Amino acid sequence: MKNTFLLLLIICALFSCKKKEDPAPAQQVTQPISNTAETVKKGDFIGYQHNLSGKAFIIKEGTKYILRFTEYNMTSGPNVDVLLSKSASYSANNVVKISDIDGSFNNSSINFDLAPSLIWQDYPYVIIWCTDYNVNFGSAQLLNP
Amino acid sequence: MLYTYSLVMKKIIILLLFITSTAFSQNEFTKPAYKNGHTFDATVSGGAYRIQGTLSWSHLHGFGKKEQRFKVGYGLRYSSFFGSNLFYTTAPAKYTSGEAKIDTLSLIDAQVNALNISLHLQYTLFKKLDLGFNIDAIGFSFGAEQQGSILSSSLDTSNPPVAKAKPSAFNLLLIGNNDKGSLISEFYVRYWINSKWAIKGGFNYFFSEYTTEKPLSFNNGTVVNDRYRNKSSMGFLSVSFKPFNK
Repeated sequence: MKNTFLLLLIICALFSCKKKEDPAPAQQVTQPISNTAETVKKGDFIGYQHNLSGKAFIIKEGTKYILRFTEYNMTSGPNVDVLLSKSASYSANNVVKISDIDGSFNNSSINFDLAPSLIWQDYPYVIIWCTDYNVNFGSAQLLNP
Repeated sequence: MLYTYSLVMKKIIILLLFITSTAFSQNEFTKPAYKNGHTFDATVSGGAYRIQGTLSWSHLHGFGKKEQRFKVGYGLRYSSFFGSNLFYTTAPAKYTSGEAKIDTLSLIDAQVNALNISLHLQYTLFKKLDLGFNIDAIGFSFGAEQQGSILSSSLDTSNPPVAKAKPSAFNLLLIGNNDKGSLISEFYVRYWINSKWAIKGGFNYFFSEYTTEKPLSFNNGTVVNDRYRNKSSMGFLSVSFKPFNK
């Protein structure tokens, strides 16, 4: 009986001393943009989950178009995608995936090249979407600057 | 599939109500057995990304002159449902029948507790083996508020693409998609180990429903809805106890 009690005490002590794992530290990504780049669309993110905030832009740089985030903050989530969307809310038929976005971000500037074949003008919203859990982390409506 | 299920359910419920009314209008109950009709069940159900625990009491009345193989009754069931990453779709029948206008609310951690009055139908196949069906009829639900993401191509821009929602408070069985709230229906086989204890297994359908904090509008206001339903099909195992049996 005494030994059982001692064993339980040790198990309790072991579990109570287990240190919580720290989340991955937020990275500050700073991807540049050329001086000649022209802002075509812009919008502010409204965050719903994972402390998402920041700004989204469509930038014309030479002949190519770039989706650019600035002042971007987000805590990490599983299988998170950057989507352009035809509607404010997610619908599988209305979105096109631009990129994954993994990790945590702190006041970051991130560029995503848009495929030349993509008619991005058909997609006036950016949605940050967690595919594993079908969660909208945040979205921005892209408007004329 | 769901349409067929609704039709089958409709027929079963009509049969159940008919048999109940017939049974209670007869004077053929064996009165001394009344006390023996009490049964308590503890059940665990499970399916993909969902689990449910229920505690229930039921009282079955046998009818007929001799063996009383058919039994009908009533009961009370408390259930607690946990689901992960579930889709809740537009619930009101006016949007789901005909030209369906279905939108989806995605919830990461659905959790619905319900207390319902239930209706029961049972047939004793052999001395120790029962087949049965029961269904929740009316009651109430509660649970914590969740934030869900809306999956729809037609959400009006006046709404944010996320919504807070909590389990619909009132439950009422009205057949098929007219149902309101959170209700269980159960098909089972029960084997009596002795006169007091039995094990029961089968499958159940659990309709759980969330109501959004504010109605959401879709298709330029042609759909305005705050009720979203998930239909879960689960297998279950129960322990049944008849405390008054000797």
